[in-house]
Amino acid sequence: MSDRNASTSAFGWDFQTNSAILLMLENIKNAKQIRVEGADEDIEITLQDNSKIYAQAKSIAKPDDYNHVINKLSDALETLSLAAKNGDGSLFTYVTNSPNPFNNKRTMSYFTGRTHLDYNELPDAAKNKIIDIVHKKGYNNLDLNKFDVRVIPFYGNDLKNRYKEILACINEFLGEINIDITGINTSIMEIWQRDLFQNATQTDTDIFISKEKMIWPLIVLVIDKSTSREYEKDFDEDEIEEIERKYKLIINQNTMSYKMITRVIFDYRGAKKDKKTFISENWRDYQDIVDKLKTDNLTKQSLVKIILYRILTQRRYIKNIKRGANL
Amino acid sequence: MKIMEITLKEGFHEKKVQFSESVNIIYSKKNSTGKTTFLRAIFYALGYSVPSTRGIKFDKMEFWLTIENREKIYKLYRHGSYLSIDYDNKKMDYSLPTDFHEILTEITGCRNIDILDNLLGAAYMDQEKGWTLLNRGKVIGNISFNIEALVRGLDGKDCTKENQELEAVEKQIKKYEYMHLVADYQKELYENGEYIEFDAPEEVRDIKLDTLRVEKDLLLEELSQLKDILRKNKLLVEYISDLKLTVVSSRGEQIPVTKETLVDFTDNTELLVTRKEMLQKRLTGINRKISSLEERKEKENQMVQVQEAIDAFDSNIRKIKVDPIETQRILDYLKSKRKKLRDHIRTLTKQDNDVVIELHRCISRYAQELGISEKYVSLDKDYIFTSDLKSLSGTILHKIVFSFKLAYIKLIKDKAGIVLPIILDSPSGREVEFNTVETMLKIIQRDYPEHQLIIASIYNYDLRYKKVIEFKDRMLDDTDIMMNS
Repeated sequence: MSDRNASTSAFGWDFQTNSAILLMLENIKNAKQIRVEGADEDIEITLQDNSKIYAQAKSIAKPDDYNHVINKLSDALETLSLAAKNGDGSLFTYVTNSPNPFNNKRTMSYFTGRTHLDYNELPDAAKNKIIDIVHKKGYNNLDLNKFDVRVIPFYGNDLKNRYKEILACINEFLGEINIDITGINTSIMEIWQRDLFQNATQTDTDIFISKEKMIWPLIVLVIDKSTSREYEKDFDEDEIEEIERKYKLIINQNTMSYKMITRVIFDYRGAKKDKKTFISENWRDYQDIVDKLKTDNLTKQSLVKIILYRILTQRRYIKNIKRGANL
Repeated sequence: MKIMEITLKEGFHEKKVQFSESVNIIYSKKNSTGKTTFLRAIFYALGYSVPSTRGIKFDKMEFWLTIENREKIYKLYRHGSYLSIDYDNKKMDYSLPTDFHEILTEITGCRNIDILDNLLGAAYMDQEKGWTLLNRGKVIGNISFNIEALVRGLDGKDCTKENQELEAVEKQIKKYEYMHLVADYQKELYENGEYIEFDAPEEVRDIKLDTLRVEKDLLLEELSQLKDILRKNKLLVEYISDLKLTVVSSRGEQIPVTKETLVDFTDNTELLVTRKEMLQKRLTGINRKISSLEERKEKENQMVQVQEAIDAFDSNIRKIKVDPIETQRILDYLKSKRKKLRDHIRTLTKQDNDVVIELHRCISRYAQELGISEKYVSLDKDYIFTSDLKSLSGTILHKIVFSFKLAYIKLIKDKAGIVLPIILDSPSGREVEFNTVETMLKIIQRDYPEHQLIIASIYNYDLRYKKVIEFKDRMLDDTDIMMNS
């Protein structure tokens, strides 16, 4: 066991981390928490019903090097078989970046690009190879009906290229929850990579990251980036930037204070107007929050409107993303 | 211009020498009695930057020099960088080397710098270099002679602008040559396996540190505000919960008011907590970067302290960013520009210049008289600007140099009205035969009777109206003998 938990190369960790992101996003609705370099497997996702997805992420540094792919497959089957003994596995996944995971040119066409195949969907040669290993090595605990294979193209020193598929997967997820904001995919990927990578280097194998801890940073990012984008439609872009920069602390103070949030939401509900009309007709009710500022009235007006926009839109985003991730 | 009298004083030693207006032989039976030093002392007393010789430090000595020019007597006093001229009951003070041209102008009446700068090279033949110095080069120390400048000056041509440009280009070349040397040094370090690392310069690192610290302060401020809001939100909700209120929904359901039932409170708290954690992570990252940069700074400081001087030097050289290819390219360009400028100045100098023709005529005449074949002194007037001295053997070269010098002296007299003294140091040295020297000296006596002649030699030449100033032992020796014949 100690060998399996031993630190692998940086590239191997990177692949594990990104495979974990991909697996988590694919199972986001049902997932509760995730662990990278878990006690039994490389990646472990606990679902809402407490069953687990056990995944083995095995990488090769050069995509055209097939010499070790069978050994890696065999190692993965061994540890997945051991994990199966726990009896809580709902899925056993083998994740690799090799385009030829069975070292068989006839089966290669099945694994072009990002691929996900259940055991039953695998070509016969691949199935036979798995059966061969399982029987020879006695990995009998593994129920092959719960086994699948994922191939993620992941190679090269150019990180943009290496993370191409991970970004694509994040984009798919963002699309499902109707988030279309430039740059947010890279920002959240970097946060997730940082959090999961740090986790992978922990020697304590019992630490888990909850779905909440993964999704809330996304909500923060979306709120920060989208709210300003929304009211840019109504205000002069330069003016917004200037006010946001200059009065950042006042904006934060009022958009994060529960007292202020409930005040605005209460009035908004009572007014029964759409967001834009409410802000343009009712902004004067909130002038008290900028009274003490030594600036011109126009800036004060813009500042109040920005605060109101933020409060009303951030609420909406929180609800949408939570719903999308089943949080 | 004639040297009438000189007094040299060094500490308690003093030497006064009076000169004849026509021929003077500074004579000693043996070498190393200070004849050359004595001649140089005259130039030093005139204001020239003459380096000291044989342990005699001119800048520690005092000099009184009396000269005569156009029937006027000038009394010069020099001590270090100070020089004064007494003339017509006026006393003028000068500071050297700044006022050098002004001093020469005062004595000679000539204001043309191109002429003034070349007077010594025309009048003096040093025993070492003088007899091979034909048309350009060093006379003594850093005092140069340049035929182009002299010819320009004598013909009244002005190339100041071109010369200033040339000077600027030469300065740039010098700087780029230094840069190229640095690149060569870096290459050597590289070839010796001491890798060149273009470390970020300290300034860049310090700017980075400052930026990170500012970023850190802003984050801390934001974090502090966030914590404060979280605390206030919590207090507010605790206060509401403590009131133990219950509300009724539209369906008649009774709902106790707690933090769980307050709309949006949990979400808002989660949002703030996440934001706080994200800010803290960013802060951790910034702190890590600051620590790493500070650590590096500390290490570099320590390294510099313990490094040997040469290591520190190498380390600094490695940090200098020099592009050897670009430097070479600029150097090539500047050198080509310098050549073009020089050619341009030379063309300007030669164009419609009567002095060139006269000089050539005069040189050819003397060369012929001294028996130099026409194959050596070309018929082409441009010959006077030649740089080809290698093909000339010793005796021939000396005779040609002598011809050139006489021509310069004649033209300086004709064009600028300066009657230079002719000062020869050991003319019979090297490959010059005694008879040749006597012929040369006779030419001087024949064609340059107005010019004072001062010769330093171990030979007492047979010349008319000569005054022999004999050096017995050392230059500052009281046993010297003066004889007139």
